[in-house]
Amino acid sequence: MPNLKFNIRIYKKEAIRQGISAYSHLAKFKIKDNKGYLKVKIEKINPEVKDMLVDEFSNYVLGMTKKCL
Amino acid sequence: MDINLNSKIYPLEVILNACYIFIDRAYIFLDSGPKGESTRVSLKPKNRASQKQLEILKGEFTNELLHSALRYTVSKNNKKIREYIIGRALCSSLPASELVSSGAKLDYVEDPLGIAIPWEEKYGKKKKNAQSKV
Repeated sequence: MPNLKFNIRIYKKEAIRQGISAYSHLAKFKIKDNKGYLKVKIEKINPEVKDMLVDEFSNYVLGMTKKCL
Repeated sequence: MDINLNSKIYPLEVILNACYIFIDRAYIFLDSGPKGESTRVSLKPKNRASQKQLEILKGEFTNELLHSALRYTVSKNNKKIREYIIGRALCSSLPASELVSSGAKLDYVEDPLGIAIPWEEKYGKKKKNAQSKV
């Protein structure tokens, strides 16, 4: 089960939430606050996109963070 | 491939702009140092790449960072003049009736300062009085 740790100094919470809602049909996401980081646990990933989902998701969150500025 | 960037030289906005341009070519993940003094950029090309191609990607990314930093500085320095130009452009596009303060209802018939009163009417009597004294 892949985990992503988003630094809240860099990534916006709103961007992460938007990313989760955009990718929610491909996997199950859980968020947890953890000492300056937002930990996102990704489970039950659709096997067709398993190889790229985590990277694509982090790119999406990065793009949304840039748009939130 | 990781790149460490000094936050004093490259503010977060600059890094995000450069990353956004490379988002279609690479998977990018950002993290910062414990005190926020540096930002670590992890670049992973979307397609398989040789060591040489990775070096090229890194070089292009750092060049884009410089470009983005310059644009950021220029935009910061020109902020006031840009706002002034836009303000003037918007002002000049307004119809003349809207340029007059919206609260005060002005009428050309009213003459609170007495500008429309002829000189003779205003000062004529005084002049006659002055003549009679002499």
